[in-house]
Amino acid sequence: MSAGRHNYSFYKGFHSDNALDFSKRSSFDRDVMLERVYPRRLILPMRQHYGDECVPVVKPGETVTIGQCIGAPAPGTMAVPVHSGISGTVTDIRPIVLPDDTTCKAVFIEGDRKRTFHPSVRPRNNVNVSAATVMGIIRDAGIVGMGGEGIPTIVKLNRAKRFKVKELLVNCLQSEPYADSDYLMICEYADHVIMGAVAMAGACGVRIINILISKDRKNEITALRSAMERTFSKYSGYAFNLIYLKPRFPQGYYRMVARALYGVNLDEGEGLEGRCRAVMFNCSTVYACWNAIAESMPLCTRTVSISTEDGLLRNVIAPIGTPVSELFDTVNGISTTSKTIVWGNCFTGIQIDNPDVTPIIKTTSGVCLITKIQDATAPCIGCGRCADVCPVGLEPDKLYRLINEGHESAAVKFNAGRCINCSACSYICPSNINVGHAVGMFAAAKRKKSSFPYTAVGDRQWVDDISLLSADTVKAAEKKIQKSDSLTLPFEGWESE
Amino acid sequence: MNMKHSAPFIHTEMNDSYISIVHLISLIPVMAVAVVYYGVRAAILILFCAGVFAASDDICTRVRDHRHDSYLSSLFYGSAFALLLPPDTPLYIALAGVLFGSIVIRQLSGGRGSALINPAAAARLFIRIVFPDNECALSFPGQSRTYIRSLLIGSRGIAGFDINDYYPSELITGRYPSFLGTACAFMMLAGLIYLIAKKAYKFYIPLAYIAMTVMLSLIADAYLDTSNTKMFLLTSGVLFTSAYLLSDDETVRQYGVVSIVQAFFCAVLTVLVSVKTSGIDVIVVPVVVTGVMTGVFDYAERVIRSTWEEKLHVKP
Repeated sequence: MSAGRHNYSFYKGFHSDNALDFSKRSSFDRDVMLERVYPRRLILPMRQHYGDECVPVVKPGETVTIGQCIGAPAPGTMAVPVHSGISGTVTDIRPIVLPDDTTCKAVFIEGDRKRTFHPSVRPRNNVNVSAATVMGIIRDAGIVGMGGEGIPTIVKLNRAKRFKVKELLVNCLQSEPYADSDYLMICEYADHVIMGAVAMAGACGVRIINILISKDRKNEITALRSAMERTFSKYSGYAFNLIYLKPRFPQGYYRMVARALYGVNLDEGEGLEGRCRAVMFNCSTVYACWNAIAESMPLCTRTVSISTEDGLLRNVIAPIGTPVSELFDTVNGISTTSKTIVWGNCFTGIQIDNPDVTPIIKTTSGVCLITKIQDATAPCIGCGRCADVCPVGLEPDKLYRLINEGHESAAVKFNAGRCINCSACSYICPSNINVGHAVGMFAAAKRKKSSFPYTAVGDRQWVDDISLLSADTVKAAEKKIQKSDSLTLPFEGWESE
Repeated sequence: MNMKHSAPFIHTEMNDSYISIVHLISLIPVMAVAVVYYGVRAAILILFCAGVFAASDDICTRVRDHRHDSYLSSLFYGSAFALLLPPDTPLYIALAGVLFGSIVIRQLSGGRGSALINPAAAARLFIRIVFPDNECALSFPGQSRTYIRSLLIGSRGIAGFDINDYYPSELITGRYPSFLGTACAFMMLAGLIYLIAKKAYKFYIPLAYIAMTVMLSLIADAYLDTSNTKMFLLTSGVLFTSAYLLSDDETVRQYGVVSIVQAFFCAVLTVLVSVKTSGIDVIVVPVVVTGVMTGVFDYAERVIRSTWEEKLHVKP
């Protein structure tokens, strides 16, 4: 086990600014961090990930339980199942529009407060699972990248296998102001994160596990190191490394990681797998995978940061599909009146004005309340601060002018399409001009869809004919178990078996 | 249906007003020394220039229907211009300079953020060219503090004045006939430190400018038998340029390699100009030329950076 590798740094970005001094920010309130939210109702969109919409497999009036599949992918589509996080009754199935403009069907569930689990949700009995089994479990559990992009994890695993990657990266680099949900996960469930990483590494045939974390996160590093030490004795065939990076915003985006760790700029359409022989998963995703493997619990809950400008921060474990209004109801003394409600975090989120009908989805790591949004106070003065923080090396002020004046071809020539819409430029702009939004929207419009590395036809074949989460599937997969790719899980008492 | 607004929902506290206020505060020590040394006429001249600059910008902005301009920056330019004037400058000359800086340099090029060159430096250069006799409107500090007639008629200036006759201690504390703002190096240094401490200015720009100026001046002293180094360091011209003219967000790039290149370029020009002439030319000419060259530096940086980034595309 490696003690830790230092001196990696992200390109540009920014750190600590008055109230947003990330290093001094308290990670979470330990008294309330384990609080689980039990909402009265759920709104479960059938499309919460990058890919296609699922098909509801329940009907209005039907009773559902926790962990039950309520939406399954149609054959041949790039989709993952959706599961219920509460037990109750399906009241309605109708189309909704999510704040990110996703239009899809949603299943409305009214909770019965009984918290009844589906029979398939139970701790795993057998301790030997094959790589194929792990893949099947992850696929059936509906796990997607929980860091933001929402790529189905099974797609990434298969892509990693196809490219024969050599390293598995666990992304513990949550850096957006006020968002701490990943750090909660790391501190409380470090063992689960490490074990999930081992299982996923075994599934895609990787022996090197690199944990990426900001070097100022002392508590989280301690927790991970302890978990790694405990795990290393059981899995000596794996190499564990803690990789420390300078705390910056933004960080964690796969292109930036490629540049920071491997010193390469990924071209459009290139992924970490093909170029750097590495695959990266968010720590919450890894945790969810372990939950699915060890407890047979599909992805139906997630940790969400509830934050306000006043510094009030609370992390809760909420069922996916919980309306935003119910999340705020869990925090005493908080009022949403005359405040801006943000679905997501304050740098990359979207303002909503009806929290009752807006649910959190698999990729929502936080919700924020903002008192006042500052408007532009002056024209662009060309100070260059935006270019100084742009993590992809753009000159947002110049691009902003070009786009506003209609010189689109010139903007494309100056690489506007590379904008990752991190909003760092807008944040730092002394004139409060939303430079990032203008450039980001332009980039999104110009960027070819095929340039995203996970849209290749080869990836789609791995998720078609997907099965529901059922014991039969797992049993069928386990029949194909091979010694070479098997993994012995360290459940309680496993050594005696 | 939800109504959406775009992120980010928080902004840095270092907004436009904050930066302008920090710049204005950094001028206070220098203005205070000017008033102490040159009395009422210095105070009137500074207030007049700052006020007229802001009023002129305000009128022009209203005419152009731009409603988002901040007048704090106008106050800064007006004050900086006044501090570059000789103490006995009459108001009509100051007015001509202010209107030139505000209308011709700033507003005709598009207003806030659009000027190519520093309006204060350009206005001062304008006065230097159009009213060359006014360069002699100097007086000894500490004398006739209540004298304000010069504001109307100017002065004849000081006869037989040679700056090399003064001790270093007198030069560094401003006890010699100087411009209003280049009176005391200590006060300028305080303003510079304040700007850097408040994160309104990157330390490496003044450092690069001062270091390069000193180095080149030493070389010039050695080979051309001049006394540039002593003059630059003690009479505060180098400090005024580095603290108040190169810190201008609107006309000088403040971040990255370009800002350092600009500082070096300005230093080279400073020494070259100082070999040929002296006085205000050494302060404002390099700044004006550097402002004009900003676009060239930006382009060069873009070409170099794209070449460098292409190297990163090499497979590991």
